[in-house]
Amino acid sequence: MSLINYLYIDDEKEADAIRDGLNDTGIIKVDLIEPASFEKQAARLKDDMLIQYKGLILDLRLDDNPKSQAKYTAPSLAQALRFEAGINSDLAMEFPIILCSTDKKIQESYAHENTSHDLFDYIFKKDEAPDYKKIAAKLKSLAKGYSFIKQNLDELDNIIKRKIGELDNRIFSKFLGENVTFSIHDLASFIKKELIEQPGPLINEKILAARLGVDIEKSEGWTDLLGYFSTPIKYTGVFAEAWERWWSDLLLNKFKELTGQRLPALTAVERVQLLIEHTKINKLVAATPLPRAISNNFWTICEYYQVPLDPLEAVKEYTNKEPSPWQEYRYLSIDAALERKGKIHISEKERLERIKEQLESEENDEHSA
Amino acid sequence: MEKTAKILELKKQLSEELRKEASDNNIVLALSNEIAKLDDSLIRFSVDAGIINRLGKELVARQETAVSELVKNAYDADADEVELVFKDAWDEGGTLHIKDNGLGMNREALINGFMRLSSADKIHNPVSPRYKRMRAGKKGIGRFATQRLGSRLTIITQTLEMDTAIKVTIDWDTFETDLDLSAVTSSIESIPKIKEEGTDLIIEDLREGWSDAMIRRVYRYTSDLLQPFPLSQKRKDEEDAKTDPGFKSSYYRHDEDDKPYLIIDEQNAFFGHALAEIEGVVSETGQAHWSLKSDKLNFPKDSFPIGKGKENKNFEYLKDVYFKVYYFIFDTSLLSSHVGSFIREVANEKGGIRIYRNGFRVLPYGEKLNDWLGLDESTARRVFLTPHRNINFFGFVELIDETGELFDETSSREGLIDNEAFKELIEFVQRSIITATIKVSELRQRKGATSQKGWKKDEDVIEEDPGAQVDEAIADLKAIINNTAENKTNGTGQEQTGSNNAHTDRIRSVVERIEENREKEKHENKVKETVLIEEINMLRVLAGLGLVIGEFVHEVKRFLPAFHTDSLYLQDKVKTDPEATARAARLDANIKAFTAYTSYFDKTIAQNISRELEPLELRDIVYAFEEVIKRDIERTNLTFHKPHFSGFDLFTTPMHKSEWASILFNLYTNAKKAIKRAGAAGQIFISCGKNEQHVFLDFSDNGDGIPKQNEHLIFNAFFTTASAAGYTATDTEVMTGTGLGLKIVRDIAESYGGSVYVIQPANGFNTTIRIEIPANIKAKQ
Repeated sequence: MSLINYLYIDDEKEADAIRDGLNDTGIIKVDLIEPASFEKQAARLKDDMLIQYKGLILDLRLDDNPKSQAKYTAPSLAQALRFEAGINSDLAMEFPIILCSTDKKIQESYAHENTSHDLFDYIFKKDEAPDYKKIAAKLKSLAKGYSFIKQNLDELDNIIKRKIGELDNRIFSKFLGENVTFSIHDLASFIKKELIEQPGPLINEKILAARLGVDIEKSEGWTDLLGYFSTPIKYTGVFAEAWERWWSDLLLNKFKELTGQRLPALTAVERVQLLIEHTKINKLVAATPLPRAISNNFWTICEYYQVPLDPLEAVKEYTNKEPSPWQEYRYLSIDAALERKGKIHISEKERLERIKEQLESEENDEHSA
Repeated sequence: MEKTAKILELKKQLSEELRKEASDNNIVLALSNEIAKLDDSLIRFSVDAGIINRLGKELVARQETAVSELVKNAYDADADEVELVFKDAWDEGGTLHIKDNGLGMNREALINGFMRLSSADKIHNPVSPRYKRMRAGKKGIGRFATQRLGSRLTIITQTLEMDTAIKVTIDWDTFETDLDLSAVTSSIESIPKIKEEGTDLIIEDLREGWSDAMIRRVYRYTSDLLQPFPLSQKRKDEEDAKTDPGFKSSYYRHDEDDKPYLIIDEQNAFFGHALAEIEGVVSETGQAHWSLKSDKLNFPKDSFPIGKGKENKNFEYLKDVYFKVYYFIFDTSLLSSHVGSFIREVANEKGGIRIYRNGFRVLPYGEKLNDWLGLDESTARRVFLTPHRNINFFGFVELIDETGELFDETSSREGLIDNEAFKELIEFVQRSIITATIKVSELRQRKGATSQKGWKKDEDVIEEDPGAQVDEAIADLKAIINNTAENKTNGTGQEQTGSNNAHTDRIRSVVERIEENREKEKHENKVKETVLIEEINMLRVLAGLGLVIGEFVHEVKRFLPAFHTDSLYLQDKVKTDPEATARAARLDANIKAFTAYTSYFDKTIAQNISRELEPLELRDIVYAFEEVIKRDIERTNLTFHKPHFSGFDLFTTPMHKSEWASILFNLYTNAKKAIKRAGAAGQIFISCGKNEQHVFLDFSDNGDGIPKQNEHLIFNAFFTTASAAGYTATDTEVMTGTGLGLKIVRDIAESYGGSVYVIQPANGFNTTIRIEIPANIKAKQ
């Protein structure tokens, strides 16, 4: 099978190296071209993309090279392409668009403006030593996902490999019903960003471990244990090759099925004990609470430390978008919040102040004692 | 004819006198003159003996000038030492004895020179015979000077060739008006020699008294002769005998019933006023150190090692060298203006560092315009901002090299052969001296903070603003003047005069106050300005350096992805070849280390770009810093302990993030240096907390610690434990040891009303520095 081709537009010094690095992985094939003027570029892309490419990589600042004719940025080109594809319902022009740049440039321009973020399916940084294998895998998965969605546009169940009816009906409401129109990109980007990346119906490996009460680092048996939570608990819909996720509702069922007990009511120690007992996988270690926490009734993780956490002993993390009712919040441990590691949700401010006051007075009591 | 008869009579008397066994030359001269005066067709000038007194007083107005002329005569006579003793000379009637070891005079020279008015000797011979000195004395002034000074002169003089000395005694009082000059005689006799060569002048019955101030003034009048350097040995071989060994004069007072004591000489005219004495030694084995001593800056002598290159290795060739240098900064805050201008005048002509090889002066080192140590050049380059031109020094280097193995003079006698030893000599002396001047700069700063008199810089002392004083004084003055004017108009009659006088006195004192404070203010500003300019210049250089590094890092960064890509490619391609695999792995490891290092610099620079003023929580500062140095910590094998924070909301008053980056980097860099010096497994620990009004950050390391006596010094500009790099070193080399780091930390803290100081080291550490900044209590989140 021939490799998936990406077209890469960039005129920076390091572009050659990025192309070679991605190509050397053998996972995808990337062709590099220098940007032309906006009109020329847009027109040429139509031809090129139709013929041979499954995806497009754009450098953020195509306007940075004074010698180049290009006087536009990646978001403006991407916007034009998305718009064209949308009004013409041109499936050929629906493909993943990837943004790449240096950390500095992303901080300076892209991060200050949110409206363009939806245009891109993935962003990677060109600095220092990019993890080419990981990037190439993501790019490949995105291109494959787009193709799959195009071919199965009316079969949401097939796209996510789960019966929509089993899920909260609010999740896909905007894609269902009569006279509903949306682009491939709309759906692809919704699945990737809302379903896969935000905890909710799907959870990642870290949260999975938290719910099972397992300390991944210390548990040699973790990989074996994952075997018990394979399909259908494991997500196999689009983008699953590069984004490993598990259905959270099916996880609970599976646990009950395995152990006969309801997982939410148990402590980490109890969960791990039951797992060892019923799977005969011995090398499992229960996760322990973070400093300034006592509960091991884990459900989520601390976004800063990436370890199990009980939401009752956590503060919500700030995100630039409030989660939908069917999604979960992301959390920070009290310790991370007190150490100002990570940004807290505005609703947690007062609570955190009270915690600080309490801790300071305890500390003073210790000193005076 | 009465006249003819008179002539005949005179001729008769003359021939009678000439016929005598021992004719009286006085009578012969007088008769001849009488005869000549009666000449019919020719007429002649004659000179009245009173002219001596008149010329003496008119040509030599001041007694100080008179003595200085006699000292210059000694110099002109190729003396290298002259000694003046003022005996019982407080009041008139004393004696002045001037002894030199010059060439002396033989009878002929005495009669045709000294005893002949308006003699042409100094016109015929503008340079001295032996050392080819440019004659300093004014033509024909010497004898009148002695006349001006006292009523009796005794000259004892002898030359090398003579077997005996000549002693002449002149009683100036015998030169009375109405006597013919040639008729006044003085005695001359032959006596045993009192020294090898030279002249003694004994002036008795001094016409005026001499105070110490007057004597010192004489010394200053001879400034153009003075060379505050050791005398060179005189060469035995004729060929080089003309090398001028130098010239010294010393002035003593000898009172009755007392021992002679020194009034002024080189030591107390020059060296006693030096800001610092710098010495240096290279031992037989090439080990070297320099030392500094400064009474003015309360710095007792202390030695510092120095050597080849930055590592101060032993010198390879150089050995048995000693130098001593007196350091002057011509600043009115350091030298009173008349002493300062005198020394500077001499320094302009003679300042510099001379070389003596086995006691013999080697030319042209230390001559005017000779810059063998590159001091003037270095000053011009402005790399080191401390004053260190040749004119800032009087000094000498002594080379012991009996065999001539190390140093030899060129065959043309134009200096030493430029070999490795000589190069090391230049490096040794130059680096020692420049390092010492930097040390002095740093000590001066301390003086600024602690001196009792002069400028007060310590923030604890409420500054008396001279400007305000002047304003106040002016206001006083105006009020008094107004009062006086009022009194005059509404005057109460008689009493006016009395009160007017009182007012005048008050006005005068106020005016004096104004003047005094104006002067003070000027000095103060000048000093401050100099220090500021030095600092600003240094900061400018540092800023420039920072920009270059920033630009460099930015450019380098762009190569990194390519390095990474190609390294991965290579590793993959050579998998089958074990040797190539090892090489590729090494290449990759090096690229990773290089990348880490670049990222360290890049992050540092990025932190410095933020210019926003905002309350900062110390946690944010410390964690950001930890993140930046993480790779450097790994690379350098340091342990960075988990930071500790007591309490929450450790917000500073609004500050720039970049300022904290500067503070922490400076502390970190210093800690790393201290750890390196201690040779310990490095550990660094930061802990933070707050009290009523401040938040603080304690930075601890287990380096070599800070000696107690340096604790309060380390935050001064230019305080450094490193030796100065040579002036040929690159800017970067120079900058790493500038001693500005902690000063910058202090400046930042103080600019926000905070402070920096050394505290009791945290448990298990050797140094803890605390940065204290006013807290911003309101700021939360």
